[in-house]
Amino acid sequence: MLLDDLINPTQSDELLDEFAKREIRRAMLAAVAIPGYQVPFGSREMPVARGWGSGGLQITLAVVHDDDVVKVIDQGDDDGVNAVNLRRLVTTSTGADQTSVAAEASVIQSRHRIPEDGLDEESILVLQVPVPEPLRGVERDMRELARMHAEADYSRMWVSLYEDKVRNGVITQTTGYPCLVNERYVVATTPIPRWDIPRLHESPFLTLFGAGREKRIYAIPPRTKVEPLTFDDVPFEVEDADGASCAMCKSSDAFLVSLPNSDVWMCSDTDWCRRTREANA
Amino acid sequence: MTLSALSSRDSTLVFRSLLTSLSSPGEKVPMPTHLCETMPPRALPLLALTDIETTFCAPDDPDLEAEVAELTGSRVVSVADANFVLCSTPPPHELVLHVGRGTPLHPELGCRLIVCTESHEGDVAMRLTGPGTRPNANLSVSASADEFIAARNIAVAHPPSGIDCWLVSANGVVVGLPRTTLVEKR
Repeated sequence: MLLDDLINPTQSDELLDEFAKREIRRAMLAAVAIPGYQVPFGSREMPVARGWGSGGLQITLAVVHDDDVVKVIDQGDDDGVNAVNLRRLVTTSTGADQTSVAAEASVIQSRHRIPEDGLDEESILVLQVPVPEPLRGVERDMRELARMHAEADYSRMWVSLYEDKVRNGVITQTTGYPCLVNERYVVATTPIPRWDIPRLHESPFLTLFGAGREKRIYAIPPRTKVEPLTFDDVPFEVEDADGASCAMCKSSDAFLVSLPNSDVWMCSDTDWCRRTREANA
Repeated sequence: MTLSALSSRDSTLVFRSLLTSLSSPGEKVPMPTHLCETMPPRALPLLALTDIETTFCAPDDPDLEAEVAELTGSRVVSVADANFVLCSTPPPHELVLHVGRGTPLHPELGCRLIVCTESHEGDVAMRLTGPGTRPNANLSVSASADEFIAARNIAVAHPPSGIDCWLVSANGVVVGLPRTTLVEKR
């Protein structure tokens, strides 16, 4: 049998053909070997619009097999429309099982959050990335951006952070905070909140970032140094809910989000909240 | 043993072994047993990752090279131009220093070197440090592989350019050495 014989969409429910998977896998391996470097790849058309998780979906489909258990969350919510649809796509096309419990999942695809608990050495975290280029705010020319990364020339990024601090009294970037990976590449940490940034540092799990629209894959291997860019005399701080606790589970040690136009706070990670309530009961 | 193209599931399983091995350098990661029983384990990375978009060579194993080329559609090119190079024994200095290392602008073009070893137990103990390595991670290699490691260290001395290696044993256990891993004699 030849590889060509396997490339027949009529014989398979899979969304990616074998050529596509292999190309994405080679990009992933390069990304893991060069932590933080944005590896270009041929992003395919997916049944979701670009910018809605197509990069994360392609990574997940290239990684998952039928022995895997998949969890998909959107802003911490397992039951969001986007999460449900992506999970259904992954499980029906690969035969993998699904779960909402991070500790039971081998592959976790997420938009904008890292689950509060349950990730270990066996876990692979796939993050959907809308804008993978952390230097886009200071430089628009792609060739110049490539040069800056190649030479680790991040001086303009530092100036940008300094100006932000001088103008506003604080560094105002809240989500997708820029981080230095393995003391070499600055990466955009997707729109995950600052709360999740320290959990990328020396994490036990592999994190893969997929940007379908921008056609880039990058990675943070386990046990890798991840430092948020900040000044020696301006410590990095995570979000503070000012003593608030979750209206449902009473947790105050999880990432909380406020309901619109109210003082009510709730856990962002809905499965964490559910399990905490069950444990309290 | 003759080779055959991997099914979609089998190539995923081999890829996951390779991904784990690069994520955790120095860790001994088994490749799928049912494949290692029917095919030479050293061929599995090529069968799982190469296709018509890639180039490869196996300079000391022309029969396997021809079979892989036919099965995957991957083109056979010279060592210096190959995306993947398979060596049946730890390669000499000249070969390791001759493979592509990519450039600072495109480090992903660095070669993936697949090196066969009899086993992952040897007389020369190496200490591994860098992204993904566990505390006290180590690697034991034979004296012949020791020379290969020395050449590999030269090839990765100017990051982000460099080469990524997989050491594949005869029983199908793979150890990954990405370019970011520092390998030193204990």
